[in-house]
Amino acid sequence: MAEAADTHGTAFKNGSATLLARVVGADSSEITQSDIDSATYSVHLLDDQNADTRTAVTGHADVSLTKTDIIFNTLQTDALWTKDSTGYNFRHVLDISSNQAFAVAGRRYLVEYKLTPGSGQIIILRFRINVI
Amino acid sequence: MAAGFQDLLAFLFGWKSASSVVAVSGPYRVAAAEVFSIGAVQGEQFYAGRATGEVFTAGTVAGECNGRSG
Repeated sequence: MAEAADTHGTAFKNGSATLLARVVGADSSEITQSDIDSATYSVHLLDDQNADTRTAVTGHADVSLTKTDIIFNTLQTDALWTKDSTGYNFRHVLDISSNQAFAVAGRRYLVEYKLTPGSGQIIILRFRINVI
Repeated sequence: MAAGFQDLLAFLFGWKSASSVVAVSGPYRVAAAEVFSIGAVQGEQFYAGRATGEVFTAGTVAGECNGRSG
């Protein structure tokens, strides 16, 4: 049963992270670039006392992504992926060259991707990052 | 034309389309995901300087007070 769930991970303060996922459709077929019209991502600083509170991180709010940069038409099984032998079709490396994404150690951040398909409802990928 | 013929065969025989002309329909879900943290996989700390040290306190280690008993 597919339930909404965040993917948890850890990143260094003032470091970057690579977010990986395998996104599939109704028949468990992997999505390809042609299935997606547009994509954006945001990084939010979370409030441990209030689950509904998010603070947008400067330079990482509703940033547009090029779908051909983040979605693969074939599954990738390189060394980055240790989850299973099937592979991933989504990959994004957070660019922190201009703005830090994870500036406060000891805090939780949410990296959220919104993929707009050609038809159907929006696809949301969420990664909850513990910064050390 | 070759891609279209392949799609026709895929449709007739239930093959998975090779040309991605047939879109993957939703609803969509994340089947698996993980975070790859950029940095060292393993590390080792090396302390520059002496491996052992010793604290030397200037002054007498032991003393003796000699005085007349009477």
